[in-house]
Amino acid sequence: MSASGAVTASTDVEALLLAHRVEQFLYAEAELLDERRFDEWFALFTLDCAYRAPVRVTREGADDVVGEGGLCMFDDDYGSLELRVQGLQVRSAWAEIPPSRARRLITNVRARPLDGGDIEAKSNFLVYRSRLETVEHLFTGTRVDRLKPVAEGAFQIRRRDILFDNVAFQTDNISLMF
Amino acid sequence: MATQETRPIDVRALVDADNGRISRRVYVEREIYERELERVFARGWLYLAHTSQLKAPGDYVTTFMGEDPVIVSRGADGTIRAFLNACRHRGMRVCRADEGNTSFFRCPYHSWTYANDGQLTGVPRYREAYKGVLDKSEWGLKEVAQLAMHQGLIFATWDADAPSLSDYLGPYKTILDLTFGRDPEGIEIIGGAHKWTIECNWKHPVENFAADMYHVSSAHQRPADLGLMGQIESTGYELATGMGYVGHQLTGPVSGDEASEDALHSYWTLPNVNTYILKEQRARIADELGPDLARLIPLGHSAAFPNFSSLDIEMLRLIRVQHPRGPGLTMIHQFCAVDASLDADTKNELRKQYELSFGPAGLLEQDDGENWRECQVGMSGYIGRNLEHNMLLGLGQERASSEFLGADVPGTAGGIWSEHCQRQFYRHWTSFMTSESWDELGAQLEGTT
Repeated sequence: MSASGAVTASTDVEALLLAHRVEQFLYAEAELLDERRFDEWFALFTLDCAYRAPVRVTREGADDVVGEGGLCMFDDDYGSLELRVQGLQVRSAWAEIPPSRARRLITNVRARPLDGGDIEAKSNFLVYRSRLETVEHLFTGTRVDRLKPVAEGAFQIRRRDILFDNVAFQTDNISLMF
Repeated sequence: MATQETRPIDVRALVDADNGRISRRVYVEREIYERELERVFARGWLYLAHTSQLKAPGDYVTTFMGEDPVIVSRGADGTIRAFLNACRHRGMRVCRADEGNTSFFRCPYHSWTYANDGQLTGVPRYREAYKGVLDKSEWGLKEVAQLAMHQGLIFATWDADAPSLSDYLGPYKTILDLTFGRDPEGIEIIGGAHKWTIECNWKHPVENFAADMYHVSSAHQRPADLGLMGQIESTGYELATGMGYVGHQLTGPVSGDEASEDALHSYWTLPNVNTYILKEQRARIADELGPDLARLIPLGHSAAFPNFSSLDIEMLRLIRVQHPRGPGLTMIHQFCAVDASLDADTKNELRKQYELSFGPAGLLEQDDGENWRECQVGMSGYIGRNLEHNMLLGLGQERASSEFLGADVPGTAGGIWSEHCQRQFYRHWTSFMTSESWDELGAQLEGTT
């Protein structure tokens, strides 16, 4: 956005390349989850990663994200994220046996370089889950990722902040990653 | 409150709690569900909120009693009240937020305005259009008949004839004391709530919280496969007392501290911050209340009739309400509770342990939701609903708790493999569903507790 408030798109080649690389990374990452290649997905996270999703609260005329120290849907570090990923692959993961069919639509990607070399990537998601014959769940929200460039066009996820659009989820459970 | 007689439902023909046989129609049929809204949810004491969510005058939260939306508000005078969240003019919810602070609730439809003590204070064009036919004092928000607290847990009932909360809960109050009254400052609720729907009847999750150690090593094999949980020993109990139930309890040590003389009877294998807090609390409560009751800590799964439940294990403590939304749908409101005097870092650790295990995305909770939905599918057809639920586990083996859990432990209990609490839940349920008045209901409940 320019100083005058008008929405502008950069035609700077570096910015275009960055936007393209980040989009392609997020699409490939979503494909790993859709295809249930959980170990490959988890390998994208740095050892010092944070994976968070604070809950939403409907309030009048106030912020609708729970405050500091409040409840999250996910509030994981590398260790607890690894447990979740392993937990999706054991023989007793009843919530995902037989596996759900999930499709992640990742849109509205915006990327910008941060001081120190990391990249901030914002994106919106719509995740559709179809399970068994007629069980259907929808999840929408937005994400802010802090990506660490690791090679030409390749990134690791240092931090992911997820903001779901729901206060109450119309789902029997949440057995997907976002 | 006398209840309206609708089409007769022969509840006693559907439920034989003493013999562990329950018709699955009670989970499926609309007529039975409507009778539950009238006779269970409009008469029983229902959990609303915790006082830590309403610290300052004007603080409020919204929730449900049965399917009825309610506001729980601390008035300018400091008194906590609860009202039907519906304008007396056209019924619109006067408050559409989950929580906040306000001195008044104004309905957007015609701007009728109520003070946070429920009084109708503002009516547009009051003199000009109503010309004296509207007496504002008659049209305040519909207030609950009784509201009371125990350990900061706020309960209410719509029925003026209901016994006091204390008499209703009976010796289950001791269980609430041991679960929520261990810290000198009591508990506080972590900000925010986990809210989600499960496509199952509200009684499924309540029964599970009332007592179901039997499901743990099957439904929750996932944490065992991950190395988070040890094998379940066969020593333990499922206990019923007053209007409540305590289940999933182990009497032998299974976790990493087996060498300790004061081993915690938890099945979690992960060492964690709460282990040491619990040990200190157990020692203190043993001094205050004796070793028999102290040994019950942490309390495990628990529920109070009809739809309050809690979980108190080495990893976490939670409060959960199962709000009915039709025979086949339940809205879960779940809260993480921590001891108020703990430092912020410890509270955060406990919150994260709760989220990882029993939040809707937790490694245990996920599988319960799947299973309960599929129970509802399996019993909803014509043939399915006319079969019986099997609650025979441990039938006839229950006895006075004092016989094997210590002289001070109230109620009756079965061993760890027992559906005693579920049978007791259905004795309570049958009493509610077949009683015309609280006089009759009170007498029936007397015979079951």
